[in-house]
Amino acid sequence: MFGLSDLEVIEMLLVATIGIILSIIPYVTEKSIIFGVRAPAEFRSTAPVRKAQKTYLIAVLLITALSEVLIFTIIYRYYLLLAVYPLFIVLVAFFAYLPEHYAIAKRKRDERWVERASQTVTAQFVTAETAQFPWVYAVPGLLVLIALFVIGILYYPSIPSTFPTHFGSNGVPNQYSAKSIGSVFLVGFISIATTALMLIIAYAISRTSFRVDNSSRQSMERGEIFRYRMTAMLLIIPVFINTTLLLSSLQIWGVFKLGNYLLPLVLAPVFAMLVLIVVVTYLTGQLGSNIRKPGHHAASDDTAGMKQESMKDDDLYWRGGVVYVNRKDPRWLVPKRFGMGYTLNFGHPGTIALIILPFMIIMVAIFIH
Amino acid sequence: MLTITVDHNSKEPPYKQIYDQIVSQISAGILVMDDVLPPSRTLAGVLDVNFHTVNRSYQMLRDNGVISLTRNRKYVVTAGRHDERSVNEFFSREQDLISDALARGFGEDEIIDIIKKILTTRSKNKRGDC
Repeated sequence: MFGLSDLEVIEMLLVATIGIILSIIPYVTEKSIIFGVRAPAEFRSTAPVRKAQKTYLIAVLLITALSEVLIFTIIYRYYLLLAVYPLFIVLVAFFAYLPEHYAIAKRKRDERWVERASQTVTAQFVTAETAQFPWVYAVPGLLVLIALFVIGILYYPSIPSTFPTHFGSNGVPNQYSAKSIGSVFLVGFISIATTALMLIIAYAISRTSFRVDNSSRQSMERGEIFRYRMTAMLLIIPVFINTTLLLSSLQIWGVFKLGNYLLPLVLAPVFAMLVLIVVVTYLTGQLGSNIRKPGHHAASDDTAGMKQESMKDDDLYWRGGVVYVNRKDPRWLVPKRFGMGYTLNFGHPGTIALIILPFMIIMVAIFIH
Repeated sequence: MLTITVDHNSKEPPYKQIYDQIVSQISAGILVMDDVLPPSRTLAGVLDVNFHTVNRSYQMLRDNGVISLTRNRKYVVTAGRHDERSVNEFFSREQDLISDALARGFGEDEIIDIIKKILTTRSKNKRGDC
């Protein structure tokens, strides 16, 4: 494609996707969150906020465009840079966010918004009886996973005693392994692990209680739809990842030879997944703030939590407006403030363990090896 | 789905607000018998109130026989299951209220009207929630 290698095309697409995700964040947060600061909802539509949002949007788009040029001209020569670049762009975008965050936080202090705001907290609590877990969404992903193992078991006798396990970007094998159940099904085991992880997170989300956005009308309905869509999305995600892993397994086993089309074909499902995530999160918004018609019965504002009012200030639990640290909160997952979906509660002892655990496993693996 | 709003500026203390809303959601049929309430720590963490505040509401609900603590430390809705003891308890509470109203000079018909009014608003709310 235009004389570019597959790897370059993938990197450029990936960076573009990340750039789009980062640039739309201000438009998907709760209506009372402005650059990670809890603010009265009416403040959102004022000129300074619009200007800040515009500045952030332009900054992120510029960073993304510059990154594309860098990848095209220099970075493609260094594999390590290609690997870390997507993380790097997130970090750079964070520095476009921080000044806006601190500017709004300062205005909040100077103009004493907290004193004027109401001190109301409305929350939705999921009980075992009311938890919705739409497990049917997990079926496609599980079917692909089963297909991988069925094909693998049927094809096992015809796999040669040494077979290629790694391919260059041109589709030519550059690494071989001895045949064993472990080496043949390594990708399959990764598939099991990612599927299990997604199902566990989906289950946790379906049961996570949260505060609704009081500044949106019909906030209760919005909250419920948000939780349902996030759960369903996490349940459907394995189908994309597993399809990618199935295709790469088929290539490794020699079921078919894809040659030059290997990388684009294998990664197409992952890009489809990213597009789905962007579309769903944009149309839903954090806590359902972007949903157009949240209820079947329109505008019945008499139920609790539907009144539009600001929420009790909770900025002290959000470091830099993005990292949630609250020791008194027993939840380990909470809806993000500046971003889409959920984030971890870093005040929860389990979260610390969750972060340290992978390092421990890697360390143990290194020592045993 | 249990919904609770706590207004920290209200004259009503948070424990009373939580208590009232749980009771009203049980009476409206949003929470039914054998439903498990969230742990008090979750309620406290999400609503940004003290853990002891929620415990106080839960204790009040237990004392009034609305919920009970099971062996595996879960709070379960028990309202609706009324035995002789709860009937007697309700009777004596009503007796106090009615004697109080009579002493203030309310007539019998007035008292009955008020009770009917309370019951009809409740059933109206119940329909609205479905």
